[in-house]
Amino acid sequence: MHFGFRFRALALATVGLCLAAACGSTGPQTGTSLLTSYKPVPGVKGGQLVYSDWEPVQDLNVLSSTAATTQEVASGPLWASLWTFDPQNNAIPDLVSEVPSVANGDVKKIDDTHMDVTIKLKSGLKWSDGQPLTTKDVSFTINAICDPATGAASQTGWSSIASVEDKSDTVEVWHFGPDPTGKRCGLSSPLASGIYASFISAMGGAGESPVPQHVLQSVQHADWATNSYFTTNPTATSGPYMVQNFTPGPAAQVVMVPNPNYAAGRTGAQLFGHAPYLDKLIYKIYGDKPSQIAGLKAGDSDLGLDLIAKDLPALQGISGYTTVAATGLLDEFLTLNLGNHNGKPTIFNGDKALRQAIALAIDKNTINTALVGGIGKPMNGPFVNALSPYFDKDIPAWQRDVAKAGQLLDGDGWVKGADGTRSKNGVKLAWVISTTSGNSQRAAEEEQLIKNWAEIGATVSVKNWPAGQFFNDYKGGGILATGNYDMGMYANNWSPDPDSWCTTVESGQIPTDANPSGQNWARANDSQLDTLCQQGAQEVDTSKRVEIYKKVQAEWKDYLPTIELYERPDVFTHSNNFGNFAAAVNTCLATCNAADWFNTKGKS
Amino acid sequence: MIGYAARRLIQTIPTIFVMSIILFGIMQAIPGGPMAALAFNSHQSYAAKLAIIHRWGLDLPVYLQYFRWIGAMFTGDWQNSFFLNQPVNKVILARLPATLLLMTVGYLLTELLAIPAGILAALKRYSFFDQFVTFFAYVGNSMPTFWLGLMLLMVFGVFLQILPSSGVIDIRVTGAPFLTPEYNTWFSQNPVTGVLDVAKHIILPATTLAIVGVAADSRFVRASMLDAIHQDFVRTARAKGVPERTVILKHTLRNALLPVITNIALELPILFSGAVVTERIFTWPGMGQLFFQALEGYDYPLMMGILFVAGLLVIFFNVLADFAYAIADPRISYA
Repeated sequence: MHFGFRFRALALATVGLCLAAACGSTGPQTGTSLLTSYKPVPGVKGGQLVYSDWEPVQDLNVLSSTAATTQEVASGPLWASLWTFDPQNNAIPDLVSEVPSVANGDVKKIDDTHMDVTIKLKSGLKWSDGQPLTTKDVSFTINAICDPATGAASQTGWSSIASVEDKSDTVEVWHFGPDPTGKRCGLSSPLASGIYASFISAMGGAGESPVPQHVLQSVQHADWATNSYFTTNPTATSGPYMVQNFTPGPAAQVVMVPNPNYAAGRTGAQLFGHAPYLDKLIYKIYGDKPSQIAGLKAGDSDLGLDLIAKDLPALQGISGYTTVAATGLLDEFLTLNLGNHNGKPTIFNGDKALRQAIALAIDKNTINTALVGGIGKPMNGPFVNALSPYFDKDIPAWQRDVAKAGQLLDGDGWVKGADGTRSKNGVKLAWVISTTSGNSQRAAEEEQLIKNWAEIGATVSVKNWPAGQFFNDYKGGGILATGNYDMGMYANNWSPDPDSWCTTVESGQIPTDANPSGQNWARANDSQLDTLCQQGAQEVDTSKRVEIYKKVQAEWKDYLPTIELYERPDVFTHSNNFGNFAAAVNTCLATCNAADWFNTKGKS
Repeated sequence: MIGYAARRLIQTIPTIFVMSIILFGIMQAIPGGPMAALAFNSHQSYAAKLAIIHRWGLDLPVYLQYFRWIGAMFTGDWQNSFFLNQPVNKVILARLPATLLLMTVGYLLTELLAIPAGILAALKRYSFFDQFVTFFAYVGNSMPTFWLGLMLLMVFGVFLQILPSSGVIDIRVTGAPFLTPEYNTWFSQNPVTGVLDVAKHIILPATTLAIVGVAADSRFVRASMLDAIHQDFVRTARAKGVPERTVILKHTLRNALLPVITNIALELPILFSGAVVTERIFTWPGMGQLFFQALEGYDYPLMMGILFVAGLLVIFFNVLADFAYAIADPRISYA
């Protein structure tokens, strides 16, 4: 179910379409070699490409829009970011000359609560209007992100920056530190430590591109959202293309022409070091999926984004096109309310054995095969495979075991009644599962799950909600946020850092009147998870973080605030003359390497 | 007549206000809201979300929101769309040409087919032609627009690939979206290609509208014609020896078309509000699409703007229909 504004799945292209000549990391990042297997081929100059989606594009606000469709055109084609990510989730430099890390000395932990990150921009960068792109634009953007009036989509991480020091036009230092006032950058409570290990994935990437100070400095932050720079006509862009024309809405079209100054400062860079190849890049919105698929079949667009497993049958056999499916950072899972519902503790509250039995009874393979065409990935633990290097490959594989589930329940005191439903101390093993209404795939998943749970003596009923109500915030009476549910089922598109997972299970993130923006909708309260998550957030050394998050995964799998079902695949269809297409596993949404796109036919 | 006109116009004022209150009330009663767009973003601070809610005016009491909105509508400042972040009137005006184009073509096609078909069916009652029109009307009225549109799209756009499946122009050919300055420049240099391009794109959606429209209107015209043809004045005209052609065209048709004129006047608002389903199926960038998008995202200012305009048009054309009827039918006295 698309309720119009959600981050969507990012996928890893299959081998047939992956540009990587060789996969796997080759060692620590240095000034002369990059930790990436992304190797685009040299493109052919000229021609045009049309890429398409079906959900509306409302505006081009690269900082404030949460719509994946906006980011598909804003991040990559129009605005460059400090760094971006390759299909293996390795950060690769875009505007910076090197991605800050402990290894290259750009990340320094000063003490337990302070760290410094040095940003080194490439020298000679320019905006599309010819003005220089410098650290002043970066600090200007940070200032805007941190002003709530701007309405930026993410302040995560930025609130940990105590001050920004511009050492030159190309070197800037972010001084991370605590905030005892709790007022900095949209914070709602004091910040004890400025250490923010996830800064690479949370800050400076897609959706947080620098914006031009020389264009926006005279515009009040509160007016940015309605300013023509973000609504219709971004006059200075930093990406490979600039807007010639933009018509917003469900039939949106963005016509882009090459940014004449894109290559300035980039000559010699290992990646994105050339002028864009295309004469014109067009982004076309079809308004609905059937029209988009019809458009692909008619050869109307060269690349179709935002397609899912259900669309595969319709996409097969399109002459001159290739369809790939892959998984990334999107997964479908169940959230168990471990707190109260209707004033009473839910049956999952305090009953780990029950939660584990429920998990064991689920037939993930059937869900994957029957409902996702077999192209999803049943999950073994809380993290997705694409979350390298943090994903624990050694986590025991998921296995359905109804007998073991039954034993767990027997041992836990859940006795089967004459009607087949178990009960314990007068309480029936019954609950309500909720998800978004009007979604046939989710409805089918619910049916499958209910069937599975019936085998272990559970009676489950359904109550679904409109997406707007289901996902609404705490103050708005959102079903998940207010805990007005027993078990919820939905998908989430995670950011490529395990800390984003942790915010959904840390006890300090339970939504309350004092903390309405808390994301721990499961109301999880496990001291070990809390401790491990906090350690992970404070550790800047990647290898140490990997070990910490292995423990997080193990504890999570034992505590079970959520039950992961499968990694939800994304599907892409592109014409065979679409050169250098590569889907990314992060917030880049498959368009981050738009600078490398080309039409194999060239100018035809 | 002038007195009647003045009274009629004054009556529209309370009607407009009641309409606005009902519309606003229905918007507020819909479960969910635009805040859901903010809710599922864990990276945005609560302060930033509050700033957006404040920008949208949703932190005001409901009655203040209503007065703020109705005041804005009458002063010409139609507020900004929540998600497009552009003035609502500007957004609507940008979409109006595409809707007017599609609906005018569809409407003309409908009336050019429905009126003659209805007249002939009435004149040749129970003939094969009459049976065919009746059958067509039953089938056309039974077919949901969305199904018909999808079928036409699948057959002509996907399987046969002889007509485009979406949009109003082929951007690969024009290089710019419809009615942008670049498109206008291109069109002035390639008028024939431009007209053919638009014509190709309009065939399927206009046909969808026309089929459903002809099914309804042809029956209406037929019934009206049959009603008129059996009137005493027609018998008298024939008795006087007036040629049959004159009897039909001058006496019968003029009277039969009176209710048809009223029907046409009442249907005119649709020219501006668009056809939601048809525009959605064919990705026609018009008012119908815009409304659907506004509804999905709970974009209150945009929804209210479109509905308010549609409501005003209905009221206006109702009044116009009354005037047109009075002018067309000299028997009616509005003293």
